[in-house]
Amino acid sequence: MFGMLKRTLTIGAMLFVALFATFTVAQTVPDATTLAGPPDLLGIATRGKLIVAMTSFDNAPFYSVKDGHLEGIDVELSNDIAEALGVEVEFDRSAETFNDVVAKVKNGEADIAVSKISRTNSRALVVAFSTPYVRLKNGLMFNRLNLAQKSQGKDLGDYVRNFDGNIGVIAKSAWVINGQQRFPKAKIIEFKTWAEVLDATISGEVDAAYRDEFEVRRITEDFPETSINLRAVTIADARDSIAVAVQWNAPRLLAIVNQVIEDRMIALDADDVIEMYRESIATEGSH
Amino acid sequence: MWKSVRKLLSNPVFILATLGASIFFGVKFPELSSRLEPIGGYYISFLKMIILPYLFTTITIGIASVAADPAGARYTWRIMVTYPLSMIVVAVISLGACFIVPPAGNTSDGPTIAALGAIVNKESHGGSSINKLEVTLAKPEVVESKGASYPILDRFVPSNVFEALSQGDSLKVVIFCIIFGAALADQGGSGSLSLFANMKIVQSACVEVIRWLNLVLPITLFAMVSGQVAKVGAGPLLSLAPFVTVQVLTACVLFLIFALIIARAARVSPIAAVVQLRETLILAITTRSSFACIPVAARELIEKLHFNRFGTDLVMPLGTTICRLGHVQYFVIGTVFISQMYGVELSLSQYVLIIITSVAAGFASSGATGALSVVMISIVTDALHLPVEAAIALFIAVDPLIEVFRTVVLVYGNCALTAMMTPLEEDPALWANEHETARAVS
Repeated sequence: MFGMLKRTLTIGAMLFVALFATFTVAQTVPDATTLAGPPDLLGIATRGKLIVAMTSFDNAPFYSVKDGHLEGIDVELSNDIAEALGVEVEFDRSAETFNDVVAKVKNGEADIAVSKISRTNSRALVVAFSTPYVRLKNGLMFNRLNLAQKSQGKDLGDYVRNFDGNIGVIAKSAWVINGQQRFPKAKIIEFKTWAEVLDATISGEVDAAYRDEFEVRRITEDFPETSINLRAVTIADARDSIAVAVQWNAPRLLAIVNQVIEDRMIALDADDVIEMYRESIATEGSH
Repeated sequence: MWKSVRKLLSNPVFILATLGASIFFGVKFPELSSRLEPIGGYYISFLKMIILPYLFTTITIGIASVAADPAGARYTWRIMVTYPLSMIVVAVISLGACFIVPPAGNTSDGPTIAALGAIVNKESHGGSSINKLEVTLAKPEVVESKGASYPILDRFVPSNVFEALSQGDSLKVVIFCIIFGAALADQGGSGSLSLFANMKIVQSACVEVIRWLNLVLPITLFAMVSGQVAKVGAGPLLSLAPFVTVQVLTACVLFLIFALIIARAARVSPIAAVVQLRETLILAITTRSSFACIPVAARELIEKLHFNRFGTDLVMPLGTTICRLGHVQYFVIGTVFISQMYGVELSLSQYVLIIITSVAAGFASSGATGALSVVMISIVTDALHLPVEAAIALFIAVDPLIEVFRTVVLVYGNCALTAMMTPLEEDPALWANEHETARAVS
């Protein structure tokens, strides 16, 4: 249908060229397309709902099931985007990992992914990213004993810059590549889950766990006992931008997502997110 | 009337009763008690106000007399041998106590470690930078250091004595006094003698002010102790029970040893060695400021236990400043606690290292008080490559209690060292306060 329209237009345009100056053509083409609606929004409009991909596991305060319904920063943002489009929202929570969530969008199984997705270069090759709605610094959670024994009283900043120990990360996450790029001398060890990364860090099997500042600071919120063994170090000049992933060939949808983010949300930082996390934990505790 | 009030205020039974009442009040009404605390703060400020002029005159006179007196040389030797040796002995005793009661006893238990973690979290939420650290991957611009390159020596080398005086940096003042006093002894002539005489008048005036302040002690004592008791949470104390127990037990053992030393040197009973120094001890417990105790301790040693004035005035202030017995004990037990908490096995050579670095940290903590002296433990832990930040947060949580014992060991220990180094005064005429004797004669 799109191809046919284009062909007719081209023929029409050629006729115009014969009669008028070329600039009039440029004005006519978009006018003709708007009549049928932007092609990337047509599918959503006809379906009547926006499919949002999210990981199968909860991730408070971004998205988590509470009292039987889903809520959080990402859920609110998804609702706002759907409202702007004038459709319902449907969450697809079948993806097991963050990379799978991105793959859902890439393969066209979901329209967008709002699932605390980090913007990375390799992901940007297959999907388009929105303006970040949360900006987090990078964080390392060190095993205190390993840190004291290996740094040998050196300046901690210097030690972290030239870190040559073992870093634990979640397998197939953005942190594998981030770690390789930012700590070229370190050995990156992948673990299936974040919990396994933490266990390895507490036992001293790896020297540090690497993720964003929020996740790193959340550890001592969730498990106070770990603050005896673990020590958080924030890296000020390595940032992690959380953004919405959109199909690469959906410019109108991306523009609307960006507009919603820019109009309705101030980019959140780790302090905001930690605060929201504490609130969400507190309400959970009261049930 | 005034005399009976005075008698009541300095009555030990009355003071003990006030002490008990204030502990009860602090436990029962923590909120009200913490509001009373500033009153105690003002009292300590008044004491500190007079301490620097007192230290300045006392140490300068002391050093000048030692330098001028041929017999004075033996004090120099005694001090140089006794101070390091006594700190090593205290370190060894503290280490021994750690073998009897492991300071990190039950910290590997689930509930205990969770409680300890919560303390560390709470301390780091309080805005202290102990547990929050931000670094950059880009190399920061190198900040030019301001000349001094041995941070540990920075605390010892005065560059401006008036700055040291105005900032209350007692260690630098003491070092200046030692140098100045030695130079003063070299200046012959009647001029220097009259300067001595003048300084002695200043000194005795300082002592007089301290005597007045001592009279209102029972009143402020209530505010100080109840405020302090309110600060100690029962939670941290219970979670760190083994650590607190070792610190307190070691302090008690050392206290007994010191009492026996004083009793032997003063030829009195051990009980008298405690009772005669009661004002010093009460001041140490209530103010937790070793400096505030120096003048009272010196006076009690001279007037009640009849030690030689010359030796006491020299050894007591000097020792309290640089011979930090209480801190050495604290550092040794604290370090063993950290190594046990992190499950690090210590070798014999590392135990020796603990003793040596604790003594060094004791010297380095000269003049440091409160939280600053707790942080000095990093000198020891850095040498052993042990993580210290989480432990410091724990130590600070129980310090309101431990600080009392640390100060008592420091002050009473230096009374014992003074007793060891100073002969008894045979002439009863010199026992009493010079000032009062002068008044009596005229």
